[in-house]
Amino acid sequence: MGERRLAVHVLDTRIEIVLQGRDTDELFARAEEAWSLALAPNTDVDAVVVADLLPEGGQRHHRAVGWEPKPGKPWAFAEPDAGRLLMLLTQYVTSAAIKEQSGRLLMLHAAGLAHPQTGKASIWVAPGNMGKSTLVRTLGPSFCYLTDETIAIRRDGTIAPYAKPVSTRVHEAAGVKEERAPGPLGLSLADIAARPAGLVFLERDATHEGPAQITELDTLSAIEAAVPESSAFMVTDKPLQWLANILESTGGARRVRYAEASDLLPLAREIMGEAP
Amino acid sequence: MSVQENSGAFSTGQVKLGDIVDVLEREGESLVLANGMIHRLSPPATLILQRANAGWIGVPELVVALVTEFGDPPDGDADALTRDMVDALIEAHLLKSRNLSSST
Repeated sequence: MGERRLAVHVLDTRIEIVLQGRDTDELFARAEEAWSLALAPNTDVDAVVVADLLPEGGQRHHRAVGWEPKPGKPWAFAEPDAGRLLMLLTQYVTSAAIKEQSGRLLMLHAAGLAHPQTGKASIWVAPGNMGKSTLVRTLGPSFCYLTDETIAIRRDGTIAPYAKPVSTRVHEAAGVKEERAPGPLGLSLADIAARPAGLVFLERDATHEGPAQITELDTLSAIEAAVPESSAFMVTDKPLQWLANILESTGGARRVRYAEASDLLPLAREIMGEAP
Repeated sequence: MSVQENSGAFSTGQVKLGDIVDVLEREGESLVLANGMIHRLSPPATLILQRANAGWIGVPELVVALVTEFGDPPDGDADALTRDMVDALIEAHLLKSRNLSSST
């Protein structure tokens, strides 16, 4: 039994992760590797997530979806399986960061990649389990990694990265995901600030044949499609006008129907430009 | 004359803009954020909200504004169609209504 701590900087939020329970040294090593692109000093933290690895067979303790801790209290959960704990850790870190940035950042459920030299970013909007991580693993090594989960846009038009572990579904039926370190997947961070250059709604269809089918969306339709995939949209100041400005300054939004993530490479290049 | 504000179905009286958080208009249509929901409005409904933004306004004035902008509706009468739209906008909390009645 012990306790290990690390901190990550995600979505402009510094979050301390406290690992408790059994096998904390091994758990710390796995978490440190998985979050390697987001590690930060353990000072001036905005929120704390406590993950307790229970003895095998222990009674897991997860909060209900939408639960938030009282002000000043940590986000906390307990789980007997280490792999599942790391998956849940990502979800709790995401919730904590989104909570901290509610009203400040425009947040969309999307994957994001950026050109390493221009910072031009492509934003790929989709619900969970609809191809975002696969897209990142496939196209990401040619560009820079922003996120496979939440794109957050600041008022100044730059993107706050969320370089989380890449979630990969390993047990389809159980819905368990493995949290993989971005580095070994060939993913790296951009050295310059990323800015939106194009927004795409993903519509993966395994039966689709031929090149990706692209449909232009007008501003109102794009916002209607984006709102269900947003976080804290309703508590953001003038969110409709903010998102409209982003869309209209980047050539609008598109919906793309495709079968394989590699089919999206031409569109990625069109939005971000050819990577060196 | 007594005035009673309400947010229920509108029969007679006047309407004004509800508690709108954000509005975005493009080519006559609009998206409206209110009461935690996004609504997409047709050009006629958008015009009603524009007119109601200036303060309390009656349905007859809205009918005139709609007919002036869009012409007479091809089927149905403008008055009934306007009342239907106003009722729907009240139900969606995009408009507030008040009934005006004479007291004895």
